[in-house]
Amino acid sequence: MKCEQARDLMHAFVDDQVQSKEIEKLNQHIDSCESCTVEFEEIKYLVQLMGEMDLKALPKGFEEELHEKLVLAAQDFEKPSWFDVIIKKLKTFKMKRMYYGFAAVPVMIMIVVFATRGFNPLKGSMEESAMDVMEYGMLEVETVAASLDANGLRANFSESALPAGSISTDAKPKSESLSDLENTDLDYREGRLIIQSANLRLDLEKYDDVIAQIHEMVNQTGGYIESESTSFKYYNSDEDNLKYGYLTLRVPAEGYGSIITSIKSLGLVVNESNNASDITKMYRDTAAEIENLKVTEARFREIMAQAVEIEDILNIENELTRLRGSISNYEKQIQDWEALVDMTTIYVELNEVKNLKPVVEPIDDSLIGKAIDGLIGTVNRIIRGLENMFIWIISVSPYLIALAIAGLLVGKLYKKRRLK
Amino acid sequence: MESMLIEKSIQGDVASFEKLIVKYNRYVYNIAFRMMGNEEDAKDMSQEALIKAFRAISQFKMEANFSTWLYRITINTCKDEMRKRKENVLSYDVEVADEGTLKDIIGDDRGNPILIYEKLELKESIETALNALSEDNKSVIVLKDLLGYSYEEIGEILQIPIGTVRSRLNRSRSALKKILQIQLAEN
Repeated sequence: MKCEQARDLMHAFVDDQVQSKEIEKLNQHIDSCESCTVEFEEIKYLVQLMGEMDLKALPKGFEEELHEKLVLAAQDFEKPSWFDVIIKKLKTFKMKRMYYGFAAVPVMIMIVVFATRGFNPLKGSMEESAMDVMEYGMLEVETVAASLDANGLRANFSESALPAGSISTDAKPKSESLSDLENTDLDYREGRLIIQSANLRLDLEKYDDVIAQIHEMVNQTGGYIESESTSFKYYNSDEDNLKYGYLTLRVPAEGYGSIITSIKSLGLVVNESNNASDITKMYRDTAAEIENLKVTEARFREIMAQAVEIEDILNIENELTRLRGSISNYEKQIQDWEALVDMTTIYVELNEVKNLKPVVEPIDDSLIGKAIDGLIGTVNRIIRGLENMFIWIISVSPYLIALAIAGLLVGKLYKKRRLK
Repeated sequence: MESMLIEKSIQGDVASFEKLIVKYNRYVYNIAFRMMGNEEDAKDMSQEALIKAFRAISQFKMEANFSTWLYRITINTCKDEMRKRKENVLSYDVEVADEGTLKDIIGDDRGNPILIYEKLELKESIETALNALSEDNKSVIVLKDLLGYSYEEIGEILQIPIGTVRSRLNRSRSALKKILQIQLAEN
């Protein structure tokens, strides 16, 4: 082994990176070479000394100083410019919308669970109202948690996080829309929101009287008649002066039950159906959406105050117009919903008849009568059978003709054979 | 745990990042100290490196080792700084690295064996001798002999193959020893 090789090995030896075979060779060389012995000892000693060198403690105030710099850096890289913030905001805004769906799932489950429990007819009214309170409380908690989730997810998707300040204001409107509703311009409803509607079909004797009564009832409850139409059943008949008509009533939710009962008492109910659709989830989502848009709008106005360039101002103005547009759309939706919830809709179909009491015809139950009925039935069945057969024959005639020709040919062949 | 902190740090959460680096702060500082050679620069550079890491944490790939990544940033930050100062700071090692010139300087191949000096004196000398090494040589010695990382870890931190780690380490130790001998002989 040459000295050069040995010296390479020495370093490896100090680091425990040598195989035993090589150690032997190295030892042999060192034993025979004085300079390498010194070198080996030196290296070992040097490495040992360096290993003994203590780690330096962090200087005083290192972490505090670092913290300040980090906070500064955090602001730095999160807020490169107003426009980047806007772009990010717009990007994340879209993302967020997607996650509202996910956030709404637990809310929906809660609503479904409580709606079914709340409607349980076995529960007393006291209990039910207590349930309502509890339900709302739980609902709120769940929604807030979900909104935090959504924010967390969204933040992951954004290229780099938004400033801490904006995140907190972002998260706010969601919970605000549920807890601090009074503080916002629009008063959002609390509790369950249900749109109710009913369909009624009545047979009655005195059409005009009933119409007048319905008018009076609706007026009493504070509702109104949205549409009304009346017509005669027959155009060219003096004999049957019967009428039929449709009414659409809008009645305050409180009067809904009573008015349906009283309308039902006006005639014979032929058909009745009720429908209730729960829009709580959609309503809350939309309310939250509005609040979010408002926050964005406020942000834009802030930016507007700082903008100098005409182009920037125009861009911001466009964006503001768009935001305003969607905010008022959503608000209109909310108002429509509220109106629908407040005023239940009842569709009434009225049909005038001469006599409400059904005419009962005497039943001929004598033996001969039954026999004649039976006979007529049989004759009818025979006639019907013949008719069906005739139709069948005509409809399959193409096949029958083909079959007849084939039959004839076969018959002829058979005859010829026999003659032979 | 660490990955959770990293995720939060990506979102710009300073507190999470501080929690994340609390284990490594001291090593980062010590690496910077050895690379820069004085406490003042060490503090500046280690803080700069940590801030760089914070800013760039979204680029950190989870499959890699966080400490390795952090140390790489630290070493590179120090190297960059030293390159900037190159005009002012002269490294012995750059001239010494060549064997031919080394012999001329020392005259003798070995000088006095370092074994004859006192331990304390030697330790102090090593500190100054380290500063005379080139950045590349210094980084392997600091990582291997002072901080005790394995060849594999060093290869990962410096992004060089293990073979290179080994040969560079041999070269660096020899260079360090020679610088030591010159220093000690001068005193």
